[in-house]
Amino acid sequence: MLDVGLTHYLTVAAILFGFGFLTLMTRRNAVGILLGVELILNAAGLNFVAFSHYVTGGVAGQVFTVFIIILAASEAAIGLAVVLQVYKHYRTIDAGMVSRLRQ
Amino acid sequence: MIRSIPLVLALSLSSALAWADGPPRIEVVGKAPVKIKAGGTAAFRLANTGGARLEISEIRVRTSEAMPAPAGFSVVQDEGLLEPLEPGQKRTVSVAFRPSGPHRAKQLFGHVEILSNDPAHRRIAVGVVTSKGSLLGDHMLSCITFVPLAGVLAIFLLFLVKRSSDRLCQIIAYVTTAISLALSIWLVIQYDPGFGRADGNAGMQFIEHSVWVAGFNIEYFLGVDGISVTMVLLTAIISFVGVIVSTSVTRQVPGYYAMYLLLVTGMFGVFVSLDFFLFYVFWEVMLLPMYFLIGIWGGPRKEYAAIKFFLYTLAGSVLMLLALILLYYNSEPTYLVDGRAAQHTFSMVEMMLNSYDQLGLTVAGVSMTRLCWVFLFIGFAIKVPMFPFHTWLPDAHVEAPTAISVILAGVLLKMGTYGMMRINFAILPEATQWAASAMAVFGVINIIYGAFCAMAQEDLKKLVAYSSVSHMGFCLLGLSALTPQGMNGAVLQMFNHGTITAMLFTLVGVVYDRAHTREIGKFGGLASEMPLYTAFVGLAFMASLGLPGLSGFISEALVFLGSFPVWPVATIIAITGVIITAAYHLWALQRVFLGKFNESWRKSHALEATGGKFPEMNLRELASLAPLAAIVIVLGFYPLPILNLIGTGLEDLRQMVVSADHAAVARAGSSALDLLAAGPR
Amino acid sequence: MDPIEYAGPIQSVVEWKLLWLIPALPFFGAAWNALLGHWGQKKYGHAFVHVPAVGAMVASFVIAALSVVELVGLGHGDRFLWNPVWRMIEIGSLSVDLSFAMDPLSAVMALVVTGVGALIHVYSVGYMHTEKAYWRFFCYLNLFCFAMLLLVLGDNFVLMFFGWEGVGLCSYLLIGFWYSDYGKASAGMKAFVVNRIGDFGFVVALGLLFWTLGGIWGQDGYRAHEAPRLVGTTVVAEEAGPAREEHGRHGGHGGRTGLTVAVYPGAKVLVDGKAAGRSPILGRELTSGEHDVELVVGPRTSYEATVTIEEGRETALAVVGPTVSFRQLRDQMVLERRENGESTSLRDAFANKTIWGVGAVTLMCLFFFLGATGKSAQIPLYVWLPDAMAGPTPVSALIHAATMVTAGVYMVARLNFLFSLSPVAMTVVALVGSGTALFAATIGFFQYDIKKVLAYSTVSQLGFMFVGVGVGAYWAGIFHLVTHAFFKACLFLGSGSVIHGMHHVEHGEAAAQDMRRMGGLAKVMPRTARTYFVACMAITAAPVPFLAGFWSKDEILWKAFTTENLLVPGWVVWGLCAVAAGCTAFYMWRSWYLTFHGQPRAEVAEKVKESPASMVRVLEALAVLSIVGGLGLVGVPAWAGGEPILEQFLHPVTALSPQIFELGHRGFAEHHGHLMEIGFMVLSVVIALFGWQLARRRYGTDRQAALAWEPSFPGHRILFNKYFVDEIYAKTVVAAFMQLRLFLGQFDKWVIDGMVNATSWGMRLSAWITGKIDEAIVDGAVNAVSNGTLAVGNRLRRVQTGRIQSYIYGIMTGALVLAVVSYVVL
Repeated sequence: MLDVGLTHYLTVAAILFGFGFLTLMTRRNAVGILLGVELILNAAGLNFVAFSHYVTGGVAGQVFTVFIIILAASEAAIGLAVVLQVYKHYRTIDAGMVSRLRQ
Repeated sequence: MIRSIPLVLALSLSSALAWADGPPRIEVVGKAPVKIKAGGTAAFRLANTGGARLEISEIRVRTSEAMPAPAGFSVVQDEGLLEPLEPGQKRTVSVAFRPSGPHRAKQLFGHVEILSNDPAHRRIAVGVVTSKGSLLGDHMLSCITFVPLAGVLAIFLLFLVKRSSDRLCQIIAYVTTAISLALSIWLVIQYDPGFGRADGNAGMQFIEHSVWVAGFNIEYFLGVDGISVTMVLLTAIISFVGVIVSTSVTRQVPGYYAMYLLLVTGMFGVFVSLDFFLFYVFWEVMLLPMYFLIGIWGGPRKEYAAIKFFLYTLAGSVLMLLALILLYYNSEPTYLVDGRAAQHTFSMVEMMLNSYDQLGLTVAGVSMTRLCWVFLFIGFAIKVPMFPFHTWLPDAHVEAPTAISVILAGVLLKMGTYGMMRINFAILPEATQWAASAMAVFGVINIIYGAFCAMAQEDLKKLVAYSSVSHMGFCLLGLSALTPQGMNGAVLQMFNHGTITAMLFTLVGVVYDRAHTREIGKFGGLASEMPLYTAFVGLAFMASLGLPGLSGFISEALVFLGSFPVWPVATIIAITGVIITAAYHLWALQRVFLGKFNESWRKSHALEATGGKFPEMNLRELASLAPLAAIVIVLGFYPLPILNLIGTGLEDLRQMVVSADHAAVARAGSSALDLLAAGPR
Repeated sequence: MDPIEYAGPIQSVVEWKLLWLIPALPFFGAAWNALLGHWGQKKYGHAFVHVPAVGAMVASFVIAALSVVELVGLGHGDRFLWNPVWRMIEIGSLSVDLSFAMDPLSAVMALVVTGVGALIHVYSVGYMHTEKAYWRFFCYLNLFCFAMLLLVLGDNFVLMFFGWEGVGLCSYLLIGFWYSDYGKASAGMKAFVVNRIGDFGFVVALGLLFWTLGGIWGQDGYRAHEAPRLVGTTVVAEEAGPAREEHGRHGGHGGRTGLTVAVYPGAKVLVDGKAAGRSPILGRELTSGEHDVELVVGPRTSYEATVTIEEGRETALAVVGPTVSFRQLRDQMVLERRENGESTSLRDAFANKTIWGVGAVTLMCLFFFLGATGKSAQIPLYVWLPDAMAGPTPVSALIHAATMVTAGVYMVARLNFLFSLSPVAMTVVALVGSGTALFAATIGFFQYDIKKVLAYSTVSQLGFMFVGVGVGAYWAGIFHLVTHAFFKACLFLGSGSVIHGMHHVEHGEAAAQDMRRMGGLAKVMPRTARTYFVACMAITAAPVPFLAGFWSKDEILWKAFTTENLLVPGWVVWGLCAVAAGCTAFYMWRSWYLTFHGQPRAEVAEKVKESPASMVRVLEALAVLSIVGGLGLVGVPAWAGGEPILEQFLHPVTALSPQIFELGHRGFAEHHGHLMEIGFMVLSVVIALFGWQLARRRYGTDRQAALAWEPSFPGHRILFNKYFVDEIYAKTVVAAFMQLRLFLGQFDKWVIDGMVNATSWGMRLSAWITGKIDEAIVDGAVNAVSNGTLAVGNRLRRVQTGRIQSYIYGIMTGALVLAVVSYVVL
């Protein structure tokens, strides 16, 4: 059967990254954008683990991925808080509508 | 005022200890300049604060052939005077001043020179000054000059305490100018007409001499000789009459009198200062109030006239400043009044000794003395006013209030010619000889051109202004001739023109106060309305056109006689000016005073107050005119007193200019040669 | 080398303290009326005014007479009274002092001025009685007499010039006396300005004289020669000169030893260092030998002289070099400078000096004569005199007939020794004089205003006087001056009395003077007519020849004929004068017949009455003088063997000129003998009679026909309009002046003032330019920077769309670019 190498992990990560990027670009919904960000972050974590297992052999990658996960959680919390405020203020969370910062 | 050299005892003690074996060092101990009473003696002490023995080769009075020390001023030759001084030793040197001779000098401003082997101070000098101790005795000229300034301060104080009233300010003006007038008359009485350059103190009297700014060798140096004493008297008379005439001013009276008195101070200062820097300061002080007086209290076009007057004269004084600096930096080393060595000097009296021509400096190919002469001449010619620079005068006169016109024509015009004599002629004699012919030509142009322009005027005041231009042309012609009669005539013309024009402007003011116009065409037949006024105008016009028997003629005749041998053709052309002068005076007199009375005045609003009649002259106007008329008539038949006053001082000046070609005279003085050879560091 | 000595018959001097009173009294009279007259006249009436005025004149006449008596008492050579008052100017070589002097010439003039003056003052009391400004008239009249006496008694040129212009001023004031009439006022101005042109000549001449005495004009300008100022001079008795008798209290020269100091009055005199009093000490006995005399003159000016006194010879200090005093000038003409043997006279040196290539003496005399033509109304400056008739008649009589206009003749007579030195100048004087005489006489033919006739007659008679002094017979000129003063004053006052009378009939000013409206006044004003008749005879020497005018005019004609002092033959001048004499006879008698002859008009007959007594008595006095004055001053005439009194009296003054003539062997041709002189005298009488007959036959019989005929006379229009001289002057000289003043006035306003305003405009322009530069360039750069950043900012601003995807898109493109670049670079 086929043994699983580094490149397999990388391709999975790349695909995951692509999906995350796509949701990021296409979703008009602020929460959807947050989802995209989460996917990208996980792709990055995956890459870390893969590299640390196949390339450096230490546990640094995994430690780092744990950090990423923690960060992703807090980032999501903040992001959702912002979206809640935006919703309270704009009554909509459509990213396109929320453009007051535009000069 | 008199700065004393600090007691150097402390310094010398320390130096003695440390440099016991240093070079000999000569020090003057005690206050300098040394005070002495006329006829008494005084002493000062020399100390050797150096290390080695100090040999004193000579102690003598500083005198030179061009500027001799007053007779009777000598160093007392007690024995052991020239013995060498051991380090730390002191010796007393005493000087005596016992004036003698027919024209004894009442004052002494001299130096005692001490030659020694002190390498640092090869030759040092100690100033010896007489002082009578009394205020009027020593500081007569300062009093005359600064009493009006005290008036200005008084008016300012009154203003501060909010109690100044028009009446009070006028009283202050009357009091201060009256004091100055009284002091001036006392000055003229005390003045010794025979005292000349040969009698010491460079022929000056009532001298006040003290160091002002030691750094730049600027001294507070006042003094009068023949020329300036007449001008001081003229200024005093005209400024007093000016105050009487000023009663017609009603707007901002305190400000007016403050400016007026400041102007009087400026004028006195210019005529009495002998230090070029001080002369320049007073020249500018005189300029400023004049601007305000014309600018604020003037007629319709007063701003234009004031700014034109100010800028014109300022341009002149800028050129004068340039010449001032040129002369300062090329002047030879000499001493301040208390004996301190000075590399350069501002004192006009010392500058007269230097011969700038000998230096042979050239600026862009033109000799420096001639260039400097021309700069100064233009600065003064603007004031005279001379032909191309005269257009400020009619405007300034037409717009100025009556009293200021009186002062402007009566005194300010004389500063130009006075400056030429005191500075151009005395300090740059060679250049004066070179430029004399040009000056004569300009003088003649002034006479003829001024006369014709006067004839073309429709405004009475402009006519009198142009007549001033014509009359000052006589001064230029007289000065350029460099003959005794010519120069005396010129100075007498300055005095006479002052009194006559003051009368003329006062008279024009009288008719202006009543009719509020000076248009000759509008008047006619005033003689039947105001006979007494017409009599005074007749007298003033006759004096102005030079009728013999009145003072105008004497000075004109002297100028003609004086300049005839030197420039015969120019003088004959100038004498034709006499005809044109008579023509325009009489024509104006006729159009305004003779013939039928112009009935339209009856209904004019100017005469509403007096019911359509021209009121006769009131007592105040009469009071301002009577003294001037008296002077004009008396000087017409008996000009000797004024001529005696002028005579000696002017003859000394003329000798300096005429003998300029052998300039060696100025340099032949023994001390001058030493001065150059040794030259104190 | 023995020292230089000076010698010569210099004028010895007698001090006389009263002379200054003669001019001073009229001055006090004038001052009195000027200050108190107006008030006094209102309060006390006319007496307050005219008593001091007339009194001053009479007193002045008395003192003048006293002084003349004293003068005559002196010896022939000593006739010089001197009265220094104070010094006026003392500068260098110029020393002017207020001092009066009376010598025979000024004695005659003083008597004429004060005598005729006093008479005219009395006449004016009557004539001006109705005048409101009575006090002002007498003030001016007194002031005039003061100025005229100043002119006549002045000891130096400057004092003479004081009087010269002083009389000009008074004539200006008196011509324009009725100043409310513009025409009269402008006549006064015209007189003053024309006189002023003459005074121009006087001043130039004075300058020339003063400096020619002191040095010479060479190529390189004027060089004063260093002569001593004060020299001791041995006084030599006068050799030449007719009957010189030694009499009088002071005795002649010579015989006296000692030093006379008669210069620099008031100066301290130190003899050998010891003070010896103050000049003018006239005599001081000194031991013979060498003495140093020093005169301290000013605060620092003093003059020294070494004087050698010889036993029996008088020594005096004389001034050498530039001087303004007549006496010192005359002394320098006789002084001789003796230096080791040969002696040179100062006069020759003076006469040979030249300026600009022309003889200095000639130029000087011509300029002096220009001054004289201005004052004494000769061609070309006579135009003011006819217009001067605008003044009151006594003024015309006193000023424009008797005294002021003769000032020019007096001056030429006073400077006889200068004029004698230059024949050119004498010829000019004689020709101008005779020319004016004829020219003015012809104008007088057809004038209708009686005063205009007399005015032109005066100009013509003055011409005669100038011929007298011009040909060298100075005493004849003065003689005619004196007689003219008598009869012309009488004529003018006569015409004044006629006008005074006519005012009752004709109220217009011009009408009262118009002869055409008069006629037959003899019937109405007999005494005036008689005096006018006598005066007419005196001036024309017609029916009865032997009155005043005849003697003086005949003397002038004879001397003109026989003169050899001119560059032209004598008969030319004589011819002109003879014709002029004929014309004079014609117009004078024309005026007599038109005014007094025939029947008066009805209106005139009953209204016009004789003038008041005060006026008529003066007329009669003058008439007597006109009769007696001629022969009285001659005594035994020359052709009858005697020597005329006046000639002998004036001899000391004019003694120098005959000596000068004899040097140049000129003078007067003696060979004609007395018979010829009598013949010429008869000829002149015949001419006068011819003129008289012409007038009598024309105007005596039928007035109206004569007046009607006059316009038909060919030259009438030219003569009546005075040859249009005034119009020519107005168009040329006066118009040129007026145009020049306008041109220069505009020139000054636009060009000179223009330049000043141009500089201020230039300054304002350059200020504007620098402002603009500053604004555009420097400020521009700063603005450019700010605008640039603004523009860039604007464009970038569009990037900030506010939509989050576009930012991420931006990030991704940035990351992609970064990756590609790092790949390419590596």
